[in-house]
Amino acid sequence: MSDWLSPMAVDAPETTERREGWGMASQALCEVRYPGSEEDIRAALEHARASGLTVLPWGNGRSYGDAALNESNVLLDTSRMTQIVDWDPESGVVTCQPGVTLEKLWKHILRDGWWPPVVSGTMLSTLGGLVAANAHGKNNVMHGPIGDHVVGFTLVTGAGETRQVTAESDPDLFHAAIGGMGWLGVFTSVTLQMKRVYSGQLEVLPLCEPNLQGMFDAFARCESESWDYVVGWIDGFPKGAKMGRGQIHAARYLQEHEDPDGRSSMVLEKQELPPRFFGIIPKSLLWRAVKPFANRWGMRLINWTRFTVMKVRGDGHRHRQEHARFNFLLDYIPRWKWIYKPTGLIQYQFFLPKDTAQRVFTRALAMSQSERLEPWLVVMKRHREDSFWLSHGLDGYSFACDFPVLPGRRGDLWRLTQRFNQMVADAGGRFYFVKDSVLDADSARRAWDADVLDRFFALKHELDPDGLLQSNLLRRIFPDRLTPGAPVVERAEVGMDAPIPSPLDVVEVGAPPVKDVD
Amino acid sequence: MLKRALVIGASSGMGAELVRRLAADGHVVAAVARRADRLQELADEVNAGGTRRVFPVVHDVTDTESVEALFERVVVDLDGLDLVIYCAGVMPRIGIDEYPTALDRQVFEVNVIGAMAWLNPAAERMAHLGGGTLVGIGSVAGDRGRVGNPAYCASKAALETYMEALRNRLAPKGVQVLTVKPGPVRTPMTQGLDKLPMVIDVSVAVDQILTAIAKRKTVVYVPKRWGVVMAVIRAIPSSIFQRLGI
Repeated sequence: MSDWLSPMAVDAPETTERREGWGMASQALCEVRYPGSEEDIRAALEHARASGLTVLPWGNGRSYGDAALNESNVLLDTSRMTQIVDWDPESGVVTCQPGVTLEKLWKHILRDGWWPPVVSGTMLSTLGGLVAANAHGKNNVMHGPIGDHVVGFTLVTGAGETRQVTAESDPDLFHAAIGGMGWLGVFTSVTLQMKRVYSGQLEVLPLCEPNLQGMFDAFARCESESWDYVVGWIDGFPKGAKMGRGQIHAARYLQEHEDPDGRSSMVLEKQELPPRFFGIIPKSLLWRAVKPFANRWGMRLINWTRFTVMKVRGDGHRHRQEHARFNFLLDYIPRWKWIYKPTGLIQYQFFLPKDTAQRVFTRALAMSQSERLEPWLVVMKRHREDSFWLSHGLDGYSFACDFPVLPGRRGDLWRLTQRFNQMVADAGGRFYFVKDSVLDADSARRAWDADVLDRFFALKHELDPDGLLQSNLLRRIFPDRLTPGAPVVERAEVGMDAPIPSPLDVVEVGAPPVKDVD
Repeated sequence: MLKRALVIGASSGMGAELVRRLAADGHVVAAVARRADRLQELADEVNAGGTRRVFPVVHDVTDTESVEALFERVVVDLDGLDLVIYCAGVMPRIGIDEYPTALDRQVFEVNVIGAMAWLNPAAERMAHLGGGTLVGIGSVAGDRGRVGNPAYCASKAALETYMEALRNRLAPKGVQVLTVKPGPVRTPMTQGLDKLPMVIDVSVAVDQILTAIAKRKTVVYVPKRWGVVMAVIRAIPSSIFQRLGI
């Protein structure tokens, strides 16, 4: 649809809207604008500057926590910037507006024999968001984060300048803006190199492992065999010898001539996720069936069942699976997150160097078990270092733990994750901004080199001198790095500078009464 | 996950303890009170760990004109708002044969008008947001008109009715509105009183309030046994109640 046909473009340049982190545990009321062009973005920045507000781009709301929230300030919703601007099926280079989702992208390019080189667990995230987060996929150790596949991008900085950036033309900005979480500027286009594929399918190897040691060994084995994708699922409930048991899925791209039906397997119909479970139950209703199990014992049972079924049916059984079905597990059961209603979930994903990963993760899992706050889902991945300034990438492993925010246990979960933060920082680990809900400023400061943070924020001050580009996340984890003069700097002393009203003459809270009780 | 709370009447008693507990539970808290020195002490105490958890806001709740701007400021500075607890309350000493209209007005200004001034913008925001929690601290004293302090009893009854009306408005929108009705609690407000029935420590009261919030209760007596006691007291006919002299 052309932009001018969009109802938002007619007479609603801004609205006050409730926006929620994907985990449903963080909300904000924001002034939402729907830019359709660079000029609109510049106008929004000007408006914010004049009004003393801050600005943050919003993609499709797939960040778990508050990375895409900007309370009481401006959100630039990129849902009107969803054009695939240029696609070259010969070279596999695509240029997209930031609001293009992975779903739109892969459906556009697969018929030509290409696949996005890095995808998230959902196809509903946007390219602007993925590049801003420098997202990784299940193939991180072999293929790097999405930033490694960015050819270039166009960015409107906080000062309103348009910059065309490649790794050669401006290496600093290139490596800072990718993974920069929208704090330097707003992407108006990104150009990416796609991955050539010769089949619509991957070869998949499932492995069941009886404990955490088995998981680490299997990851090492898969790595030595150069599987493109390796992802582990861990049952967070068992203790002792079975602690950390789980399953690994390794997958590799099929080479030319390996799949005689390669071309026909690339048609979209063969990639679509099935709408029904066992061909009968609509998947859109499945979350309701799981909801009664949304408690400790129910989840213990589901994890046990999953492990047992996979062990009996799937261990070592090589098979082929479509790219979309392998990669987009989060889209497999629509609205599955609703089992966490009403209080939502947090995903705590932490990255540990490979020499400390097993020890620290074992300790973290044991702590969550002793607190009876076991993660209901744990996903393990292998990672490598990359060259982006604020990247989470390191030579090690990550563990993404889905914790329910249980009524009455919120404070306990908070304290547990604060201890995790310290442990991860002590072990030389990192955190993943786009998933984060609980990182504290001290751990954030320790997780990245001070000189990298100095360089990043010096660049931010240069590109965004008024500190316009901010998010709830930025203010939470780097409160002391914000641009001088930005509104948030004053937050330290709310109301203390206001004139103190004259006190009540007679009545005073806490005055000893003569009679009566409260 | 990082929740944002606003506690009005935070410099002492239940308010101060709520601020401490909420901060320990991972909330960032705007603490509103009139007495700047006590407020700053509380903020310094809680923030001593290094991470700023408490933001002091000096404000007199009778200055209702300034609430709207302050409320907006708090929301911006906390990056949102999930929980509002109105604890400000006064209970002046008055004699059994005193009828001090000026004092009674002040009781209502703090206990009722101030509550409305803060809870109204919060209610409007939460209705829009489709979630959040509003808490008002009533009292068992609001259940009957007693001889000791007519204005105080009436103010708590007014607050509780106001909270009930807010609840009826906001429950369909997913907002929790909780009325807490404490019996005697060892706070500065009850200092010097003798023979308090079933008195509890402030930490116990705060535990129960936080549990009621987590369980999404609507009305809760603190401690619970006051619910039974007050059910009996409410059932006493007026003609008999007036003879009891309580």
